[in-house]
This record gives sequence, C-alpha cells and structure tokens, in this order.
Amino acid sequence: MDSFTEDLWAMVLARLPIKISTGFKLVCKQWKSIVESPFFKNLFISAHQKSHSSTWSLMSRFYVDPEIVGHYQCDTWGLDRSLGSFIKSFLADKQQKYKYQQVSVEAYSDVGLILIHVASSDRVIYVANPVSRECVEILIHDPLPTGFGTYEYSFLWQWGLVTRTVNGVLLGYKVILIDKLLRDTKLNCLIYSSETGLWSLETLHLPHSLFIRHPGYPISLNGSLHWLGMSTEHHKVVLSIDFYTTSTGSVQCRVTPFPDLEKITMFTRFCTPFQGFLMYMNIVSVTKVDGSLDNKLCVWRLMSEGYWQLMSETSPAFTLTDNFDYLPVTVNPFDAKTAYLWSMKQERLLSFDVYNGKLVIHNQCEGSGDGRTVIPVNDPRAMIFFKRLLERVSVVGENYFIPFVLPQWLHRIPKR
Amino acid sequence: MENEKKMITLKSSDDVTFEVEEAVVLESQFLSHLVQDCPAPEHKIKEVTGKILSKVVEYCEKHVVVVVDGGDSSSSSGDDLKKWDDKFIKEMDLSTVYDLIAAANYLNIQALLDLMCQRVADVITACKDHKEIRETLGIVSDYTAEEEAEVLKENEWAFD
Repeated sequence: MDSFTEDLWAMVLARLPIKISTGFKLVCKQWKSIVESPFFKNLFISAHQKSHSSTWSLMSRFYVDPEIVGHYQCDTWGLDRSLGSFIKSFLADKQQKYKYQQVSVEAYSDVGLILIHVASSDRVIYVANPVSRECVEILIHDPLPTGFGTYEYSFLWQWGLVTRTVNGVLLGYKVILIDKLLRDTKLNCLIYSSETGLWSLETLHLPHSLFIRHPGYPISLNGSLHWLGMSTEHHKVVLSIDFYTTSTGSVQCRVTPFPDLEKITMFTRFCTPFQGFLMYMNIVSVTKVDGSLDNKLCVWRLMSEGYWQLMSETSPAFTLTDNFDYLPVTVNPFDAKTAYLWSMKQERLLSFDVYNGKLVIHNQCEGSGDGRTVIPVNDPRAMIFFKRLLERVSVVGENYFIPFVLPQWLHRIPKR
Repeated sequence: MENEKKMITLKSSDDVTFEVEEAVVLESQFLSHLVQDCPAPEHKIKEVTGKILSKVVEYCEKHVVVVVDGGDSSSSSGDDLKKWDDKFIKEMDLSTVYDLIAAANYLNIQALLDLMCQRVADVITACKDHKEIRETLGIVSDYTAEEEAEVLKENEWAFD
C-alpha cells in the first residue's frame, strides 16, 4: 500500500462521477489534494471522454422545473436529480432571501453557469452554478445609460452570459445586457467583464436590419451569443455576436442565413449546441427531374468563418406523413446523432438517427401524474425524462426553449 | 505442428523467475520495448515482486492472442474472458489489487490497469459515506473537526 502513490489513487478516483469524487475531499487531506489537482482533472476528462455524455436539459422560458427534457444520472456527473430541480431549489433559497420578490433565470451559459436576476431595489444579479451552488453577486451598472429605460422596465431587457475557456480552463465570463433587442442596425449593450470587474457600454452595428420576433434566450457558445431571427426580406437567419473577439478587442456581429432557404423544409428551424458548434438539422425536399420530391435529412454546423458546413445528408428511412405534426425538440448535444421529435396529435416522442435515418418511436407518455415520461438512453446509467408538451405547443413552436448543458468538468466561477 | 516459440525469462525483484512466450511479454508496452532494445534471454524487473509478477503473467497469458494451427488468429471469446476477469479479481485481496495497479502502471498494461482500478472504484462506490471509505480502505483521517466541517460546507451539494 505504501507503493500506492497519489498518481495511482488519481487513476482510480478519476473513474467515478464528479458528484462522488467531490465527496472524496472529506476522506482525508491527501484525497482532497488529489481531487483538486490539475493532473486529476486531465485524467478525469480523458476517462470520461469515451462516454460522450453529460447531464443536459432543455429548459423552458417559463418553467424551470420540470424542464421540457432532462437527461441526468450519467457517468460524468452522477446526479440523482435533473438540472431543473437543482435550479428550482437554488432559486427558492434566493427568493427567501429577497422576501419573495421575483427571482428568475435570465441566461444559461455553456459551462454550467446561469445568470439570475432579482426584481428588487438591490439592483443585483448573480452568476451561479446551480449544482455546486457556488454564486457570485454583481451590482448592476448604476445609473443606467440612456436607452436602457428604468429598472421598472427591466422585463424588457435581454440578458446573456458568455464565457472564455482556454485549454479546458474557465478563465472568465461576461454578463451582457441588451436594451430591447434591436433598433435598426444599432444595438446598445452593457457588458460586465469578470476580468476587470467593470461594466462598459458598447454600441454594436449589425450588417443588416433584423427582426427578432421572439428574442427568447440566445444560445451561448465559446464567448458568442446566437439568436434566431428574420431579415427584412423575411429570410430566417442566425445572428451571432462574439463578445471575446481577440484581435481588435471590439465586439463582432455576424448574420448567417440558414443554408436551405430556397428549399421546402419540414421542421421549424431550430439550433442545438454540439461540441462547441451550433448545429442545425432539417428534412429538405428536393424536386427531382421527373417532378417528384426527394426528402433528404441534412445536418449542418455553423463555422466560425460564418458559413454552414454540411455534415451529413441521408435519405430518411422513415416517412412522417399525412398531417405532419412533428416538432423538432432537440438534438442530443453529446452523441449528435440522435434527434428528438414530438408528435402533437399522438403525444409521442420519437427519436431518429440523423446519420442512418432510422426512427425509434418511444412509448406514449405513461401517466406519471405530472406528465413526465422516462426514456432510457444509450448510456446505461443515464435517463431522459420528457415533460408532456401537449399544452405547450406554442412554446415549442416559437423556440421558447433553450438547451442547458453541463460541461465535462465542474468549473469554479472565476473571480477577480 | 508447433513452431518454435521464442521464450523469455522474467525475473522478479525477489528473484522468482517466469518463463513465458514472447507474445505474452508483448501485452506489456514496457516489456516489449525492453525486449526489443535489449535481446537478452532474461530480464530482471526490480520493481515487481514474484507474488505480483505471477499474477501479471497469469493475466497476460490468458489475454494474449492465441495463434491456432492453420494461422487463424483469435483471442478467447469476449464473454469467457470477462468471466475469467471477474473470477481473477474476486479472489484477490485489496492489498494485492493495489500492488497490481502499481505493477500494471509500471509495466504499462492498460487493460490490466483498467480492470484493477475499476475494482477499487467499485469498492469505493459501494461505501455509503466517507467514514465507510476510510474503514474499508484503512485510511486514517488527518482532518480536525473544524477542518472537516469546513470541507463539508464548501462541498455540501455532493453530500445531498
């Protein structure tokens, strides 16, 4: 046993989920220092890369718990509850502190952090990890610059939370406050940087005039925020704003039209984060020479240069016929090949493999009281529960849901 | 017809010798480099005792790809091998497991290292709390009560 060095212990302990290995800190000082070492972190990440799975959820704009889809109990984190329930209990604590003022999640980041706004005179927001409960308080810029209205109109604000990660280390985050998203091509942003601890005002200039009907929550990825929008020519586009442009230090905006605009598509356009990219999937109809239609299942990802890279194009091995009533719900953010659809009429969840086009129909919602259905997935220890969407058709149709994905590591919130 | 197989002798730190086929040695990255670089008939492994080396040899002999007559190459079938692995670890006490992890790491035998680490990981997972982990693994806590309370507070979420 004396020959059993710290490195060997690290090899053993790194096989276990984050929740369990965090608990090891209580065993003895040596185990605490092992679990907190960079060597352990690297071992952990490489040991869990194979599982291609981590906890993720699809959050609704209006409800935190239960979320629309929750995937948990995977080997990476080993949680026994879904993210929605973690967020709910975290919010409940804050609510108690603020004597039942409205406390809400305003933004989700790509490293497991969320932004919480309290509708109180304290003018304070929180960046928090709802799972580890680590939390940082930030005072809102005071007084507000012209154009941001007053605190009474804070419900009109649009928040965002972006992060900067280099070689797997979370170095900083920025809190973004946008005033009533979009006026022509000018966009006023208040930006708080964790690196300086200061707020600054920036005016962004968009390349085109845009219309974003339901701003919803943007998707945060690698220091950028992405919104789905519509150009004045009624083309569906993705608006991407990079808040960590390194070269000039200024903020960079880009508008990318969807790649299939001239074609007939089956699904409402939606995007999912996948391994640092924004991914888009649809079934596209192409008219053949003889006039008949050919359906192709296409998957693209948005490249940082601002174009869509076609990742796969297959013929779906299924037909979704007649009264087409399927809504795209999400693409699994880790395996990237399983897409989930919801059939409104049949109240049924379907998943299909985007690469071979094979379809799996999951059992109809079996009645747990709150309309959840639990679906076993590839990862034997993970499960998905799926909140019945029946009464929320409009919610899904209008892109009011947002993916929240835990990273492969528990990052501490960077402090100045 | 059995061809002549190249045999190699491994000698443990306490001078126990094992005569094995070259193919068995190749299961270990460390030994295959050693054998290539230094074509002596006998190799002394100072870091591993005879007791542990016998286990390593037993494991590698079982896992080596068997070349059957006729040139057909096959390893023992997956299920059988898994059953054998299960039995192999079940019969072992924890201190042997530790030594085998150290040996597998030193000799660079990834599959054996994985198997043994998983065995310890399983033992730890079966414990209900940190106290049981200490008891099971014979670890003495060096925390004061205050320090322990502090660690607990900082990581409360993990003990829910």
